[in-house]
Amino acid sequence: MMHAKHLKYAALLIVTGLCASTAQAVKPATNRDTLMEGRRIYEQACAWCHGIGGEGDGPAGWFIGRYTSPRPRNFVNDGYKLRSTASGELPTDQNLFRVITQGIPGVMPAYRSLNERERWQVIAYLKSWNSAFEEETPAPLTFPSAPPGPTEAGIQHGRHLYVKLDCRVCHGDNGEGDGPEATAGHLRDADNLRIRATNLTDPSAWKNGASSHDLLRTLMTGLDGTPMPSYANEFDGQEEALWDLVWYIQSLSGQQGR
Amino acid sequence: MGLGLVHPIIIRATGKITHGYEHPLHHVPTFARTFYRLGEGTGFMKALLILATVLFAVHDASLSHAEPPTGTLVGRILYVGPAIPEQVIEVTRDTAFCGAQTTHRAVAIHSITRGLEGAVVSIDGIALPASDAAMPPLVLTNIHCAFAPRIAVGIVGQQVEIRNDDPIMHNTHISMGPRTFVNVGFPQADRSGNPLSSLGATR
Amino acid sequence: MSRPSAAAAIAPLVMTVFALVSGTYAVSVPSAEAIPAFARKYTMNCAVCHTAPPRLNTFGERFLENGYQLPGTEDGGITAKKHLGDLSLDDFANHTGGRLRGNMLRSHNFKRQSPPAAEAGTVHNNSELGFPEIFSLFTAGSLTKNIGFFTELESNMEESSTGIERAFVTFNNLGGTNVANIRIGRMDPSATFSFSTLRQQLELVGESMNTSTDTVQRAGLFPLAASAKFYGLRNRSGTAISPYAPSLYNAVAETGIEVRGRPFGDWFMYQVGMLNGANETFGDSNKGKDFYGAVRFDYARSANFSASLSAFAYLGNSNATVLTGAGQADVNWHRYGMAAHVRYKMFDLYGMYTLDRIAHVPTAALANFDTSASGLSVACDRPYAPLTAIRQHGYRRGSQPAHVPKLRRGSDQTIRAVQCGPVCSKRLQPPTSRRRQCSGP
Ligand code: HEC
Ligand code: HEC
Repeated sequence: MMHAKHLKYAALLIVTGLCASTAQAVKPATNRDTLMEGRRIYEQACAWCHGIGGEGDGPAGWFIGRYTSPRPRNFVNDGYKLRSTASGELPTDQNLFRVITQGIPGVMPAYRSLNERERWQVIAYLKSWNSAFEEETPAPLTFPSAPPGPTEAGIQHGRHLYVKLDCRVCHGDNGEGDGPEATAGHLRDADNLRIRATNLTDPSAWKNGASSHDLLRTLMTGLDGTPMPSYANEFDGQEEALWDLVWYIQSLSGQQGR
Repeated sequence: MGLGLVHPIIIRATGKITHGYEHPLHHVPTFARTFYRLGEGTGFMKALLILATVLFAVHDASLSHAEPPTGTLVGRILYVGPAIPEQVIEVTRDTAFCGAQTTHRAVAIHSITRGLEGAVVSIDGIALPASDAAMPPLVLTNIHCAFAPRIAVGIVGQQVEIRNDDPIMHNTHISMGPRTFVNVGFPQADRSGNPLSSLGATR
Repeated sequence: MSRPSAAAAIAPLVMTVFALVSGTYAVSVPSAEAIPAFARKYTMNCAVCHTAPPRLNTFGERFLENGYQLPGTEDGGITAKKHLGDLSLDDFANHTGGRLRGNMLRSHNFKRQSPPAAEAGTVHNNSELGFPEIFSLFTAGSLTKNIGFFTELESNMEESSTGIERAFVTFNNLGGTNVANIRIGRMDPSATFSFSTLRQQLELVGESMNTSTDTVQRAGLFPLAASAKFYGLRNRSGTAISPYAPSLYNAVAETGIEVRGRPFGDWFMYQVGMLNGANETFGDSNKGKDFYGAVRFDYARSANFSASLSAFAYLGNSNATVLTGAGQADVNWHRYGMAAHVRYKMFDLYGMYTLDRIAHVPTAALANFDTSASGLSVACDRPYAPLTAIRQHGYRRGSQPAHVPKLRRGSDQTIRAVQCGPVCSKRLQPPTSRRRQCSGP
């Protein structure tokens, strides 16, 4: 078990990922210059998919999911999937920074080729479309730190939770994304497009990251705009159980403790 | 002041309603939204226009008064259209508790008075006075595999409390336009709070 | 593509097929012609760049233009951060892709006049079961920031040839973002044209030619506007150039150098280049260089829509020969063309018009053919999950050999075709089976 001080530190790391320490340093103030630069980058790099006006309707946007989810995010009024904040909240700047840096497997490239300053500039620009960013101050959840490591009993308990919490209904008995709700085609995203329940045996395709901390974040925040709910309430005060579920999901791909 | 004008007003079944759950939130375990769309997709309700008449009396203040009106709007919204059939929706989960089928009434009409239950009337262009009064949370309960109440009106900033009184798992997924308002998985008998952060209709 | 054959060098070109492919339907072996290596490198589905592989969507076009780097960035440097000693097999896999191409079942339906003088031809309906006929190995990507490369080795059982199809290096963003991008090597000049020749078929249905008699037996499905059009032209080694072979600006591969860029923003592109021309493989008889220039205007700023308009001029210099009776004489073969393209959501419409002219034809040979020819090709495609249907329609209007009876000079030929191919929309595979990615269902 870690010290309380460490806990806080660990929680911060989860939220910000690797980039935080250096990234913060170069984050420019949101002023006219930043927005102008952000716009230039956006129109060269992002508008193909997200559209010149940020409405997710760029000329290449339809091809990505074709008739199924996802369409590129509409920055004007959509919510966000990949957050460290509670269900229904906007993402933090760090969350946006992470998405742009890591990309989204299958559908959006990683933009490590933009330097950090450029990534911040483009973030300022895309936020400027949605006035909710001015009205709300998204705050990250507090994430419980990890116990020493997965145990066999913990994984068993995780399996029990997986069934009890109905994950299998969407993700299937063995996590392969073939639960009854998914195969019946009932799952839809915010654009009313059919969406697959993620295959939990293939971490390389997870949008929110595949480390145990990433998984924990996914379970606590849910993916807004999709049927994947937040389970933060469920585990209130039962952090151990949450980690058990995380270990179990990782065990589906033989990567527990990653 | 006597009776005001008699207006025929048209309320679309899926029209915008300020601060209200736009639809009576019918609920089926776990996948409220998904099923809801199914019901909605049958098309009939969507296209249906409800012709209603409202009689209202405004006390003391006329609506065009410069000062914020504090009057009471009194009236009855009557439904004069053809009967609206109930929709029967198959329940695919937890049938042991919820039953194999559930009925979904998009609008509830009193059989004798023809009054429309749960109608929300919004008046545009009037700034209501701010109030410091503590607002009790707006409670939305999952009970017997449905939401209660089915229509609720809240004020920006008001806490929405979601409860699950059933002994089974429920997901509650409410959206405001394309943006998720809240999407939470609930174990047996639990609650969660979320403040209403902006104007608009949720469902 | 011309087939070198010594015996055929001086035989007169005779056309035996007149009403050619009236309908071609290919049920293809799942051969998504995306470059799986790119999809792997960026962990993206092929559909991010392709409408129907190998066709590119607006994002894919800009990726190609940027020297295989993400549009708006110079990400080649990211991969180059590794030292050579650290390279793993995976890195190699990230730059390499193979593809097998061929028809599992192919049916043609065409009318053949044989011998050529016969009044009515006989209709041939063929269905063949096939075996992957073409194997290509790609290596493509960026070596370091702003230096990209592309090589394609092809082993073609139909043409029984193996060799380098294309190989070039790109130097990008010289003098500022997208001011000048250089391509050097064996390349397809029309790669960035609104109607890019190479990407206009899902499944290559090549032409078929009898090399000993120089007779065309089946026309290929290359857009007719991009084809050679003329009968009677020969390359510098004396081999007949098929009237259906993509050529000049629309060549599949020619050796040379080009500069291209969008110095004023996305709306305008220029391209100038110099090629050996002369329809030769490597090496150059160096009688003269061919030059080309092109401009392209783009619009990609409204919802789900993009469009472009391009025009080019290609000036040949002793890039073909004709028979004069006494021997071979050099001619200058030029081409001018325009193309437009509109895309709304997933519906694509392309059109191209070209005009060819031959200058310096010796008087002795003038009687044998027209010195000008034109072509028009129109294509559209629309994906229906999981197939993409492509319709092509084109005609060529060009010279016919005067000694072939029944054929008028300046006769028209039309090819219509509908192609169906699998859409590459496979989800990413777990790392262990990555190599199968994008190989269709
Ligand atoms: C190839 C198309 C493509 C390009 C180019 C692209 N994106 Fe995206 N982006 C997407 C898609 C598709 C999604 C939605 C993914 C999903 O919902 O699963 C997305 C989602 C996002 C999100 C929302 C993530 C969330 O939490 O919901 C952000 C932020 C984002 N993109 C930023 C950018 C920025 C900034 C750029 C340019 C530097 C960019 N994107 C370029 C396709 C693209
Ligand atoms: C109502 C159906 C539903 C239920 C119940 C559900 N999920 Fe999901 N889940 C989804 C969908 C749909 C996605 C895909 C979202 C996307 O691709 O944008 C998803 C995505 C995920 C992801 C991948 C996130 C990423 O990074 O891409 C994980 C992990 C996950 N779910 C775990 C769980 C667990 C554990 C449970 C049970 C506690 C659960 N889910 C319950 C529908 C569901």
